[in-house]
Amino acid sequence: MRSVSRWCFRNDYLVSAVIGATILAGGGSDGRAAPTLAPEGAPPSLSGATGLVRVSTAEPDDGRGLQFAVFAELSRSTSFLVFGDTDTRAVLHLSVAMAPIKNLEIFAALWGSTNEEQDASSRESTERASSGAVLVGAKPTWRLGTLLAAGGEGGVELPSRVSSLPAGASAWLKGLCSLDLSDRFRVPVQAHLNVGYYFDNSWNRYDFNGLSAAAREIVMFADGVAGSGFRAAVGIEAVAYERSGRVKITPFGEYHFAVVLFPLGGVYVDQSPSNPYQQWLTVGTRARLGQRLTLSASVDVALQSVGFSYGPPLPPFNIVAGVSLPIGW
Amino acid sequence: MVSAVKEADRLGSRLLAGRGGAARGFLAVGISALAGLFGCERAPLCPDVFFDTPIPVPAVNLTLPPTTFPINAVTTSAPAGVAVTIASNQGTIVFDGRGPLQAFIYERIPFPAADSTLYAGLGIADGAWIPFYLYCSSDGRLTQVAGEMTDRDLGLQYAVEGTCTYDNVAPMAPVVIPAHTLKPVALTCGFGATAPAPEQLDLSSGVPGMITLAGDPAVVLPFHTIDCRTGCGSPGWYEVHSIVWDQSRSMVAFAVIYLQEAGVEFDDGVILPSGDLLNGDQFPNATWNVTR
Repeated sequence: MRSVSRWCFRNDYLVSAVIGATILAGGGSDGRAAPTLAPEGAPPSLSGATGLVRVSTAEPDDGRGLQFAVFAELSRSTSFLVFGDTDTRAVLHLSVAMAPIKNLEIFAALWGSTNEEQDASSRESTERASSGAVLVGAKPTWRLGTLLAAGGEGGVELPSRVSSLPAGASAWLKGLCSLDLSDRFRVPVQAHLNVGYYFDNSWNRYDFNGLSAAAREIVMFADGVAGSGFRAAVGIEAVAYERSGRVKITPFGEYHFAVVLFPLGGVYVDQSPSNPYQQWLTVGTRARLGQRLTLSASVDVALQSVGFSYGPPLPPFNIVAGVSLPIGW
Repeated sequence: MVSAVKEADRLGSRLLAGRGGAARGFLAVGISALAGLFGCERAPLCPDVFFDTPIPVPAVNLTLPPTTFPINAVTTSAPAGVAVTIASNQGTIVFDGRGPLQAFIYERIPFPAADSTLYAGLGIADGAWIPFYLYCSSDGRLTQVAGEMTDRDLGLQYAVEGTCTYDNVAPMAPVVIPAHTLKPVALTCGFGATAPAPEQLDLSSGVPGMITLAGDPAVVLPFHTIDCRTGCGSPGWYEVHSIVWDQSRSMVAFAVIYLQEAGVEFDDGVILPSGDLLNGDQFPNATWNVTR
């Protein structure tokens, strides 16, 4: 008899290792004055808001101009959604952010995804599910001295299938806090906290009646269907290496926790596990080359997936690569 | 796995103790990431596999045993695509958007862990049966409707509002069910069970099996499972919900095969056209396994 808690390792070991390693990496800069993390402004995240990969920062942008980013995600797993089948999911994101006035950032993002489910019994037998959405939002932030910055973020996600509007539109609200140790302690480390609520209506984009559990799962995974609930994330970044302003390497880590408050569509699926919690970790690094171009690479590592009633599982790993560029600097 | 994570943590701590370097930082990050790749996942679902031979169910004027307690059950508020209208153990059900379908109650099952009494019923669709369970509280509330469909491997449970009436309910009249056909029947996965002769039991994932039905061997088609190893009661159990078909005697049954510590039990079902209820046939020498 399988016990989930028995085969889930202690997440705190992993989190502490990553946070520790990221702080440690901050010692790589040998300048006497600690380098600042992003005087050029943080690049957009997947949602469009400036930040890491999925963690938004509270650092005000001060109106530096338009920031543009492209991200690609890729995951591939066998016996992940359906026994014996292989899922390959690719997602492309285009993100843009700008601060039209001091202390206010507006952002937008466009994403499209496709998931290919290859039947174990035949290489010819595949199912494809594709999806996409547009996100728009705003992020007011303020500096509270040299150490802290705080703010908020709100946005909406509009599905690409117009026929599923307005019921399929989702929205989020979250509070942001950033801690910058570079000025006060001369340690080039920033930590970020995001806590918020996501009103997720992605379930309403589809009519699941008549589908088997496996067919539902494939569609849900491709679209990223999830349930409404609280989401929290901690991010940490540290300058590991900087040379004459030409090259700057900044490793980062994110820890995400979500609790889904309601089963999708109000329906409980009678399979275990039935937990509403989801956790994952993102570790990666960002490299700024010259004054403008920033490359990033990271991997999402699943720690705990929600149960069947609350959404599709997290892939065991998910690779995210990105390029960002300020325009009109 | 825990030891690998501890090793990553230990290494990270050691690196922290010295003067930091980017390379070491990346190493610790990498080790942590690798450790995470072995994190927990939930079991995958079964592929969509079907038994495509049509199973004819003859017309029947069904009289259930008098031990069945007649109830009235009606939903007053339910999600879209769900409705129950039962009077004296028969009426209609709408489930997962299918219906209204002819339906009847055939069994009462106490379920203390849910503080409810379950009323097991069968909805009749063209091509499929819809086994369902009404959760009735002791104070007469219909709180949940759970159900499944023989033509897809899927079990759903809806929170509803409604009433269950136990008193002054008229006796159940015979149920007139027209001839129909079951096709396809889903074949689920994740388990296996066998019993040595003279017991006749052979269950495997994704394929038709064999079991004894009313004294003779019959084809068993497991279409859905419910994992009750934890959370449903003590000791736990694993349910294999199945269609059982004896072509030579034109008998078709819905049945639950329980995989449990004491062996395998064949129970909580109804046979058509006889209307006989399954009454807990035991396979005490059976061995079984669950792989999900």
